Amino acid sequence: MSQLQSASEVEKIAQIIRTSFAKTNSSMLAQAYFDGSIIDNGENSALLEMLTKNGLIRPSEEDGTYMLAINLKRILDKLLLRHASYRKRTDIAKVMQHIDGDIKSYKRALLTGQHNEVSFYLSQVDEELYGIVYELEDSVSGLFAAITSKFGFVDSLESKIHENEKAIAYTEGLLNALADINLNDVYSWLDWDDVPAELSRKVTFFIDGYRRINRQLEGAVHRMRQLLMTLRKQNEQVARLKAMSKFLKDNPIWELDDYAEREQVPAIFNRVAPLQLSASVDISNQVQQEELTDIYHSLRKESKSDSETVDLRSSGRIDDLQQKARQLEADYVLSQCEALFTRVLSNKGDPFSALHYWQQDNQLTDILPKHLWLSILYNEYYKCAPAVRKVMTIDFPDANTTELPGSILISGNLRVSDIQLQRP
Amino acid sequence: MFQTTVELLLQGHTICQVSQPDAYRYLSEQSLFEKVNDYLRLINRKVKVIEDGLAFVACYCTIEEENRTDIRQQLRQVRDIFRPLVNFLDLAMTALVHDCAMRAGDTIRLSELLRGIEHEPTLKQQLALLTNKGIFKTSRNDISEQLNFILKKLDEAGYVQRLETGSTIYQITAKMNYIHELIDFINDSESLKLETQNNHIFDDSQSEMF
Repeated sequence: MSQLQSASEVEKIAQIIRTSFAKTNSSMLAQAYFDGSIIDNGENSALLEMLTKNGLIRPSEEDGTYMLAINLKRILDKLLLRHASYRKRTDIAKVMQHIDGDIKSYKRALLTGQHNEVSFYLSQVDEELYGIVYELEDSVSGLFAAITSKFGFVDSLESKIHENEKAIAYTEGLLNALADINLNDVYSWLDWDDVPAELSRKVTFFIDGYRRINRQLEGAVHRMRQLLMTLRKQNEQVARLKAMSKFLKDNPIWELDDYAEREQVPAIFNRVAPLQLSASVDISNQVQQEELTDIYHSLRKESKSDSETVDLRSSGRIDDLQQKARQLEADYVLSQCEALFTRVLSNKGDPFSALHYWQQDNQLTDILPKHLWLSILYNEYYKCAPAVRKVMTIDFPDANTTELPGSILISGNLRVSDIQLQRP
Repeated sequence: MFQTTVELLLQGHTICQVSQPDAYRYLSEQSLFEKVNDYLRLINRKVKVIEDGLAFVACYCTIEEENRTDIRQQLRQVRDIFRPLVNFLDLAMTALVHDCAMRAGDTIRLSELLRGIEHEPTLKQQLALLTNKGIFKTSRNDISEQLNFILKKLDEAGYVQRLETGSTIYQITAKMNYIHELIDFINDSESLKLETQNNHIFDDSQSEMF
């Protein structure tokens, strides 16, 4: 029921708007606004009567003439001012000149006691001052929306940079526009005896608004410049990373220079090496002794409960684990081949014995026998790029040929007991 | 927290919001930072602030003969990882269609990487090359396992951190930014002119299009 009622009221209002602002009515109302009044010529009487009935016009003091209703005139004034201030937004200096003129007119009207004009000029000043603050605040909020969301709407780094540059240019434009406002001039509007409180309030509102917006804009420009710097830096980093990657692919034997040997080690390499930290328990200390006993018991308990709960054979995971262990061992052996190659390449002139390397690495000796290590290493050497092999020579010291099938055979009848690698 | 922070620094960790959030917060307090720094200075070490407080690391106050060995060791580690890591980052950015550098706080999802690589023969080939030598060398042939292996290696080296145990999402630590810093350094000190190289990359891709 209430919905029906509200629908009928909406329709009633829509009807009033349709009839009041029909094409002919609009022209007549516009004429009344600009000319100040409209004359009843007999032909337009019905229309004038209807507009009067709708409260859009009212009979004036002169017979046969009509004026716009006060409320409608005020609304039109406001709309026109807003439109005008929007257009003038980029030329704040002109708006300030207008306000200055309006304040002078206001002062004159006040001194001569023309109350209607006083009210008119005060309203003009109010609209202009409010208009500037409103428009600037609107721009600032739009700007903040751009900073916080717009850059997020575009994905690519290039677009983000472009959006940021646009926003900075826009903000700087606003700041330049604000520079046209000289606060000394604004204060001078109040620099006369018995300034009415209502004018003083409006001007103070404007000054406060101006200062607030200025601060916000300066903050925004600062933030955006920082962001732009970060974005540009990121852009450069991406470009350099890609180029470095290409450079490394094109130069397979390029290596980082030995900066640690330079007299002045560059600051970028000044980092501490991991320090092994360990502490021992003082068993003569009663408190530590008790804690140690507790830890010992809890560890025993833990290992017991582990063995009780996990039956690897029954869950069929033995094979998986063995396979994983084998894989890890294989990875380790291959990584050691690489480590040896790296060492050879970084130490020009020094010969490296593969056998010695294997003997020094307990894990390696546990995983595989000597002959397998040498075979794998030999295999990996020939997998290296030709450019790498060119700068890393391979030699087989004490190698001899034999007719007997030896366990350390690399090719045909060559019996090898060590491999020597060197960067000549 | 003082002891933990000092120990982490002495063990060579890069302390950032991702890798060590508690120690990072601790060092972000000026007075506590000074306290740690004063302590380290007694043993010829100090806290180095990275990228306006993005991370903290320990370095030597003065480089003498005895700590040159440590620096050599550090440099060897950097040298081992530099080439494969740069190539991996390039590969990952191409696979993920990222035009932003991978930096501290960003995440790498194994599933996304896999999706980006598995249907691209060129990227698959690049991955195979990457896992054929250096610290990423593995005998695994499956792409997923290869990627998993690489991320595990990066996790061990402190460049990424697994979000939680068993997860395949990794978060990049501030140590990764060091690689970018290093590229800039190499570019300048060895006059590689990478900017010009980059133009060539662009030219190459353009010519490929035609």
